[in-house]
Amino acid sequence: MTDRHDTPDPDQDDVRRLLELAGPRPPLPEDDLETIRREAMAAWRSETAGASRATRANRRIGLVGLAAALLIALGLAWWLRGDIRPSPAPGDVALVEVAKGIVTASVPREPSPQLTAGTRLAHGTSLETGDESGTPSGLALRLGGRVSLRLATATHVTLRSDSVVELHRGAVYVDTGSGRSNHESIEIRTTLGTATDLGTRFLVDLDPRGEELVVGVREGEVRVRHDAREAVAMAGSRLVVDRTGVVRRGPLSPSDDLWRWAVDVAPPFPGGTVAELLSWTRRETGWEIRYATAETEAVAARTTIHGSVAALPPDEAPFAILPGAGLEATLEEDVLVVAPARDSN
Amino acid sequence: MQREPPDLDADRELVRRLLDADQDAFDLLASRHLRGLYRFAARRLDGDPELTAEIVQRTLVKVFAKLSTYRGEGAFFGWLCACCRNEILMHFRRRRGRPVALGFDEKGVGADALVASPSYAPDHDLMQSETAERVHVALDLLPDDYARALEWKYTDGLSVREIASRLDLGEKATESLLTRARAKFRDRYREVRDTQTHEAERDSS
Repeated sequence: MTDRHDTPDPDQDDVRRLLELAGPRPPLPEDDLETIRREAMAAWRSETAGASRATRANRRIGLVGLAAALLIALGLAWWLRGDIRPSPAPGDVALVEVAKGIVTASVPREPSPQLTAGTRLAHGTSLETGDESGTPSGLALRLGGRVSLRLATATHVTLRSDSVVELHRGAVYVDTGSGRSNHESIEIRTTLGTATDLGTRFLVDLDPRGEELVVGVREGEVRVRHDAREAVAMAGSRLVVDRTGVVRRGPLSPSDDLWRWAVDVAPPFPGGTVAELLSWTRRETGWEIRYATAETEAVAARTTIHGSVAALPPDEAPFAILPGAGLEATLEEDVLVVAPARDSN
Repeated sequence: MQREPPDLDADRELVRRLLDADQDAFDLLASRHLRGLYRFAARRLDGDPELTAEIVQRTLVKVFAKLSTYRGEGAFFGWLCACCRNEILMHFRRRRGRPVALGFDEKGVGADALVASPSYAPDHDLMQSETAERVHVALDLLPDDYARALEWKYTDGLSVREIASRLDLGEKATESLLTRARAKFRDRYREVRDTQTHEAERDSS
């Protein structure tokens, strides 16, 4: 393997000796490195955002009066158009969107409200799902008119405000909406730590004995604080905290079965185009949506769905709705491929 | 061997850009330092992948929290390793009281042994193992094509012609690349060696 370029060269001898001595590098786990990279980026963004956020906050104080007037005007306009989701009244912190199975509420020194879609909930309300019968149960709430909070069965929470929820046992799923915004962060407080969103969809699961806290992140980032320590989990990962504060991490697919129960209490599709239905399906199921052609995507964007699809869950709606638009959907692993219906070719 | 100072200006510039929330700076940090840091930690944690990932992650969180304290008086990678070492020591201190299998084998010695036995006298196998670690970490700190070119030439014994073919370069360009790669490798090797020297000095004090 030698050639005229490989004549002995003292300038190379040191490097040659070292590499020959060391031998080949053992391979590194690329998946772990990628997870570390993503989570490190979240931590770095969190740190560097703090410095610039202080500057933006000072500017916001000066503009809040004008902004409040604009928001009220826009809110009224949206309400008249019927596009905006109804918000809780002043003093209320949440609105019930979906109630399934056995769900109960209690408020100190107040009569217990009946939980049905449209019920308004005040701060301090305690909510429980399920009972000894094991009836599958769940709740979907809208916190502060903006954040979707869902409760799994066998879950007990207290609504401290429209941005602070105490999780006593069970699991909650949080969707703060797509993309980052200037909304106040949502805090999920448990005995093993507090999870704070950084613009995200995530779940928090505290086991009944309070031995282990699981935080799974579907989109965005979540900061989890335990005593004086904190960890940041990014999309596609789960973080497990035990009583001693030991943190374990692992990957978590957006379509993992862990998210299943949240799909079961998803608020219904509010109406719109086929493309908007597919976008709703993507958010709820974690499936990737892939259009076979640009024309297919254009058809989906311009086709409005008439009639109610409220009865259809997100993992069934595309298969029921798309044929009416001359399209069909095929699920390949976790990718929903949308193509022209075969008999329309 | 020609001595060149470590590229501290580049390290200071990288940190300045990280503090400015420059995404390219983060990508550069990840591509340049993450693998070396991981390997540095893994060797001290018996190659436990889950624990290594946790320690490296904690290290980076701490590093970003105190990034503004980096003065640029020493190599940034050495600073990362010092933070990582602290995380490893804290981990083992939390575990104290539970049986720890302290062993000396080809993979090296656990951090507990280094802390508990400062008078431990390394023998030839340990020295060879430490040298191998320095070489591997130094290679991790190089751009990919530099590291691969060096390994192809000195570990796999390929000719310049064969390396040129793999890199899709001319032979002269490949020779030039190898010259630059050797120079960079020496710099990185010195950085890693200095980091380990400081580690040993702290353990013995």
